[in-house]
Amino acid sequence: MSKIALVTDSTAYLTGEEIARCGVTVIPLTVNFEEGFIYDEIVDTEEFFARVDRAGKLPFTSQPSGGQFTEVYRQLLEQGKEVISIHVSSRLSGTFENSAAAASGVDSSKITVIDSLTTSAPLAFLVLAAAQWAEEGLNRAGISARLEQAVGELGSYFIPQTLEYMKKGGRIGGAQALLGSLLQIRPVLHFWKGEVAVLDKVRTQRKAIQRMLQELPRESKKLKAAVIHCAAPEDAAAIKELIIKAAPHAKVEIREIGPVLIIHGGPGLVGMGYWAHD
Amino acid sequence: MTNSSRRAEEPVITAADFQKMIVGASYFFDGEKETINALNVFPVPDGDTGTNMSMTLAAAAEAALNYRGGAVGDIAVRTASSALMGARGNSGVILSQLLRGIARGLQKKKVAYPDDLSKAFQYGVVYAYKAVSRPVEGTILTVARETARGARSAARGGEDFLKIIESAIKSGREALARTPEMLPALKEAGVVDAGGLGLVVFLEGCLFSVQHALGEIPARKEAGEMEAGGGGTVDSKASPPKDSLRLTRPYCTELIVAGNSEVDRLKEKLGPLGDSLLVVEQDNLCRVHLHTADPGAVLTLCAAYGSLHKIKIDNMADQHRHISSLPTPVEAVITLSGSKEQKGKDDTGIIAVSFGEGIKELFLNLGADEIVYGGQTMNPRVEDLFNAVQRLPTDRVILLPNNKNIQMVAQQVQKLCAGEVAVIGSRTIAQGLAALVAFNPAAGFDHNLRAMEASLQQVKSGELTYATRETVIEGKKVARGAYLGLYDGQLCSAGEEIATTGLHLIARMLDENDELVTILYGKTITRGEAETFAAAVEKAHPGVEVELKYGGQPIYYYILAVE
Repeated sequence: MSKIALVTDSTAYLTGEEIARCGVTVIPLTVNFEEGFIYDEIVDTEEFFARVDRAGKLPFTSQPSGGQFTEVYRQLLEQGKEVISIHVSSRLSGTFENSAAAASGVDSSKITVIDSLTTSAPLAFLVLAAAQWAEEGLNRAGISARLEQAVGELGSYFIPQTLEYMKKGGRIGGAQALLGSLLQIRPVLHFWKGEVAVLDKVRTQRKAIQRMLQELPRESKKLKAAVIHCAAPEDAAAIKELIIKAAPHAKVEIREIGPVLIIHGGPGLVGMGYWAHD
Repeated sequence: MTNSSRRAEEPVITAADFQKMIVGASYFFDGEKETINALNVFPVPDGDTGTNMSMTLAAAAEAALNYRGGAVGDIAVRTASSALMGARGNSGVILSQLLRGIARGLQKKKVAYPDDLSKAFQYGVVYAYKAVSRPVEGTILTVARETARGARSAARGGEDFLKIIESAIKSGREALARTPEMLPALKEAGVVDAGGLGLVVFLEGCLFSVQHALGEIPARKEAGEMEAGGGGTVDSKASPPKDSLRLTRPYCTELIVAGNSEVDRLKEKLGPLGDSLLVVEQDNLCRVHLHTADPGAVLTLCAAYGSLHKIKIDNMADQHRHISSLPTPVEAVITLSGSKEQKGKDDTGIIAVSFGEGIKELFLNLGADEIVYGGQTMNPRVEDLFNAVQRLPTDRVILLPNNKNIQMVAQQVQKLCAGEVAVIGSRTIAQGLAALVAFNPAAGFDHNLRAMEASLQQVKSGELTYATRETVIEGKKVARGAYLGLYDGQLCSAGEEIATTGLHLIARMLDENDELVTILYGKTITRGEAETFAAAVEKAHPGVEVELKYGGQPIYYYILAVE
């Protein structure tokens, strides 16, 4: 049994099987409605947006408190483990900040906190890779160094069907200029230095998808890719086929996203995450 | 030209002669411009060559008229630079380049001898050819080259300068008559090249004015009629020189009222305070534009409806003063500033040429910083675009001409400006919008230029207009006044009904890869008509999405973008 314990947050949207297999502790963000909150895990999108509509206003999301991190880190350290805690981009959420503060409060000599500068599938890639490296016997420093390098090898792209939710949530960042377009515009967004930025703007969904796929580093020898979607399984399957066609050697999976991300991205969002390393 | 001239035996051209020639030619030309306008190859309303050249010459004449010095080289240089700033349309730009070449030939000279004049013509041809990226024979360029040849042979023969101009005109006329043989489009339309005729008329005007007293020229326009021979009949209704523009509402007042929810009421109240009223609301911001005698009253009134921002008051008399001597009424050139955040030196500014209230809003909304009013039949001057570039705080500027007849004007602006100015080859509104969508403020200048140029290929442009004369399309006769559909500038459908002609046009434009049809409806189309048309398009092509927007443009009932 490895000495390394992994911690991440809910925006990696790991499956139950993955969590169990890798022994990851997932600390959930929450989505807060006026009448109560829900934990951030894959939900029925239709039901969720029906609830949002009933509420009349967008719920807000909360990062896990420092206390939650402190408690988890203490327990893991008490079990004799060292911790690697990998999280959603610090430019998008205070989760990383809280985990870092908790880590230095508990014992920073035994806990490494990694800022993924992204979220969703690419974050999941990091966590799963770390689990494998731990399995292979790498120590905390070795895994952390590899993770830091991997952060620079990730790509995260997405195409929201509407910018309405991002606007309401105030998470639009560099995409600000697109607001209030009189003409229908499909932006292709990406994570750039941890922030959401506009990669390109086109007028139709098909062009947006084509544009996104241009960013796939198909020449890369080791290419892991994921199609990200919110309530768009058919589009996701089609994009998966396109990725396989473009890069037959790539390992491609489909991953859904949960409430914290979908209240910003809106229903119908599709995206692509990759990890390319030679 | 039968008049014997009192100057015929004088060997030189003085600054006064030059002044008289240019000013006189401008008036003379104005009387002929409708003849030139009538030489339209395409049976659709488009940039009027005669009007464009006339306005360009008016700008030249203004500088000539104001010249107080005594050197012919000096007045030629000033005339040429004023012509360039006032140049409208491709033909106007070429004419300004001819004048520039002439100025180059005469520069630093106190007086010009016949030989100098002949050389100046040669320079003119060189500059004119340089202004055109892909010179085509059978156009004004051919005529210019031949006039220079005529001038040279007369000068070699030791003739005086009247004879040199006469010879230039004669060679020009002969070349003009051959233009239909060089350009099949001219032959099909049964016309000679309009710009070429314009050049000949200009030279005839120069000759006419040295043979007559300056005061006689406007009154002697009929003489021009008799001599216009090869160009067809002349419109006899020459307008007298226009008085200075008297502006009763000189203050162009623009501002944004924030937090206003009673737009209609504000509009109603502003109405009596002036004219050219525009009130456009978006996201609780209300943009007001008004020409008024009392800007204070406008501000007071608006302040009752919300907070005031971006207040801009211009005395239009300042704008108009320099054109007050123009022989032709000029459409007001309005530029609107974008509502976006102020840009800095390192940003990229974007100037779009467009017409129609709705289209202007679309351009501003997509990130254009300035709109220069113009388009089909209303070509802005070099100066209008130049000034717009100067107003932007950015070092780098992208120009979107959005019309083929504004491309050369934009290219001249590029040459005039100190910073980095790039001209995108957008020939239609649809292309202009596509280019702007492709612009990414976060990306570099060169990257954006490439992306914007590439986007032009990804959109198909359609326009629905009317036939200005009888024509034949694909073997079928089309009556004057019939509706015409243009696809990427080519005539492709015609009919008696707007909707069916439009549907036919769209059917021709669409292929299986297309997903989106954007329809901009013009100012003579009601919202209801446009919605019915859009619904018919959706029904006929269930696979594509249709987006309908108000364009407010004149001339085109519908502007279409297919992608």
